Amino acid sequence: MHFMVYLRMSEGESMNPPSPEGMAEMGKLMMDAFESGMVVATGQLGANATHVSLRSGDVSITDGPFLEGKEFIPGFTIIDVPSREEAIQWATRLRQCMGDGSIHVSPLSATGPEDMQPS
Amino acid sequence: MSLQDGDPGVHAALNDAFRTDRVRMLGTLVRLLGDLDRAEEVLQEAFAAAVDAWEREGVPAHPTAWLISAARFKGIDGIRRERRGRELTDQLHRRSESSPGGVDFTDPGHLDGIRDDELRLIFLCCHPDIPLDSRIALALREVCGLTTEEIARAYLIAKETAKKRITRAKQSIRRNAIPFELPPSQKLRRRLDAVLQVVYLVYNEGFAASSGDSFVRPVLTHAAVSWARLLVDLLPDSESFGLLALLLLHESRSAARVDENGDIVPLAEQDRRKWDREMIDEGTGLVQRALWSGRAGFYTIQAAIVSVHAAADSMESTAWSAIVFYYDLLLRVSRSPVVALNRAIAIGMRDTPEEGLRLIRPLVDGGPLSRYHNAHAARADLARRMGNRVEAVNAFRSALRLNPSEPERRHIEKELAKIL
Repeated sequence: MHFMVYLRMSEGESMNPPSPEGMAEMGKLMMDAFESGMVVATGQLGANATHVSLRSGDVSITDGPFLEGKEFIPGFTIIDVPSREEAIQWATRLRQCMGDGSIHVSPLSATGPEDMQPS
Repeated sequence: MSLQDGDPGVHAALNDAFRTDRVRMLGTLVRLLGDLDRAEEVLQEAFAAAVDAWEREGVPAHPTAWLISAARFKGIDGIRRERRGRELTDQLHRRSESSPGGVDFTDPGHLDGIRDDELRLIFLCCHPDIPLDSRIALALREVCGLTTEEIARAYLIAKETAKKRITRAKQSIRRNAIPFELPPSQKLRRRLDAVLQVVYLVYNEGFAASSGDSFVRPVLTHAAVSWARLLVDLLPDSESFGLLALLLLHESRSAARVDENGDIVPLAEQDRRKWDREMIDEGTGLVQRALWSGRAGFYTIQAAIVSVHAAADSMESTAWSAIVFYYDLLLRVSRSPVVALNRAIAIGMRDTPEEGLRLIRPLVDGGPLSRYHNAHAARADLARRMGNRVEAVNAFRSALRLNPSEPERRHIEKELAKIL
């Protein structure tokens, strides 16, 4: 199963930098996750998303927020693990490296080009 | 751009547009006119025209859009006057009027959120087909807005030489027909690495000048930091974050790393109260994002190492095991002997000086770093710490024979004098 593990942050808020040991621990955790093959993708969404809206057929483009209240996602990892429990376990370890705060785990369903091949 | 007299409101608006939107305006003009030289020229003319027009009619609601359209008009007009044929003019009209998805990207209302032209310009100036020194000079001029004189002064070269490098860069854009385009996805990483390399080299030259009397060139370090910030805004790649983090973390020590005589103060002797906490916090936060959100690359790992130093009160309380871990990672990314040297120094701190020295000796004794003065100086330092005076003196002397920069030479001589 695929899960997205991610942080949410409001603009202007800054992350509490973890201890040097915690940060190195996080580096190790990510490296191991890559090497075990459980990472599908990892990345971040930029803070400055563009908002495209259509009103009565007119397109308007603004330098809009990604979510209400200028929230953005400074880091996400899509992992492939056998169960939700394992996803939560991994996310907990990641959060422990960073210290107090929250982290979100959401089941993810995605379709790629290989799923569209006729069988 | 500096405007001495006239209406202070106009002056402020023009300076503001120049400071915040110059890259965007120049990029858009290169796209619309298809030529870097012409774009530069008409942008300059548009700024000159704005002084009169804005004093007469007031500052327009969208100064940037006004400047772009004035410059574009001058550009198309110039091409017409040169009688380069109707065909080219038609082509330009098509270029500026084509509007994918029914969105007119020349409409000033649409300029705010879309910054592709800035990225296109950056990728153009840092294209790997341009010789490296020309690439750096061109980017400093077009992306960072430095004048040719400033570039010449920063690199201690004649103004003519700086000019030649820029000309050569522009020739190689023409000769190689380098397009004004964003690289396709499969090439993006490699091309971004080429951009990051230019920013990194500019910073390094400013941070530890390779020649001349003065060790720091703020014009270059500042240009590199603003450019790294721009990149983070434009393209949120983990290595862009890592690079900005690295530069900020280095910058945070700038008040402590050189003394009043311009001499280097080594890390161990720096007054850590002079480190800039705000920059350290920002840099460390960026390292965290970069470490999580992608490949732990060359810049991210180096930034992580500096962040460990930044978090410590002293050399003794530094988390050396974290630093050794990052050097192990760095060795996977870059097989450079300099990385191996730094890893050996970190091991010398985490374990014992003997352990560090054991790893350094093969690098300098006929090894890949036998001509690198910093490696000999590092060996001297470890040998001194374990009380091996003869080895320390010899290694300091070897370092001095290998042409260190003037401030580095003074530092090594000072250290050597302590044990003679």
